[in-house]
Amino acid sequence: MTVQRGGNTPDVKGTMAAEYVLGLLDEAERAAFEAQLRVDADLEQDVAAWRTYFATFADDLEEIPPPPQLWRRIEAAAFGGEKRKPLWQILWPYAAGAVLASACTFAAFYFDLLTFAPTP
Amino acid sequence: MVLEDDMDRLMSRVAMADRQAFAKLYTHTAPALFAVALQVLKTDAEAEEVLQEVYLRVWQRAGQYRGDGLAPMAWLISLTRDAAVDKRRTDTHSGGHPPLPDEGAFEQDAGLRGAQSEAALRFRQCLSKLPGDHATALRRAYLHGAGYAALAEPTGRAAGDLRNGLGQSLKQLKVCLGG
Repeated sequence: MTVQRGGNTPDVKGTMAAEYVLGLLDEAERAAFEAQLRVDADLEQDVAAWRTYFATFADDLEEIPPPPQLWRRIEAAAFGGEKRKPLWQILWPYAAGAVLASACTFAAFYFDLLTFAPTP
Repeated sequence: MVLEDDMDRLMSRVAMADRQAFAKLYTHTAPALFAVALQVLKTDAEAEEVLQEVYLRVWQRAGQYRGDGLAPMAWLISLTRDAAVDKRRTDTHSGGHPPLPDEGAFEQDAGLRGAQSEAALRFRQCLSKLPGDHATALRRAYLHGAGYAALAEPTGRAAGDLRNGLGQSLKQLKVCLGG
């Protein structure tokens, strides 16, 4: 274990992981711990285990429903970029295509473009 | 609250951008997460901001909880707690210092309502063996984002002493939890 606690107390791996999850490390300790965390799978497991245990503190809490407008805000922010388009916006390329096709057909007949040379 | 199995399935669907699953996940988990955020933050508005941030992250990265090695609900609680503590710290730097909520002593059977996971029961058992008010201190550190200074203040001890003491308790806790 290369991460050292502040002062000269040697770190005990597991407890530093707990302090990290609780947010009790100072900035320098946290940075050192996170550097170690990136290369140490065991340490990562320790962090996950502490997170799991500490999260059970929340089991005691009385649930509080958030106001309904919060969901509307989240929905708008999450799906906002891909809002449903009005029908005419979905249909106009098809309509334009249809108009163009009709115009071509009309032009073809009108200018007699479809006359074939008489077969001999 | 939904069962872990259902939560797993729900999260997989959210990871595949299933909007209905996302709405269902919100309905089932938001009241618990709002309660977590309100432990740390003093106003509803701040807690709502945190929840919005958390759910957007979930929508964008629902697959990540497996990589983090957590069960879905523990992952959601962790995200919310950390986001709320971050928000509290940023706001504390720029504005007034919000007081920590009053906290009664840690009650050993406070959480025995409803179904408890095995992890929760074991954790509670191990906590009850810690000396003095260390279980309460850990709870305050987690739920309220209290640092060593804030934890030591009511006890009249130095923050460094508390840290050494809590360090011993964390070691004991780790052994008790089996690793």
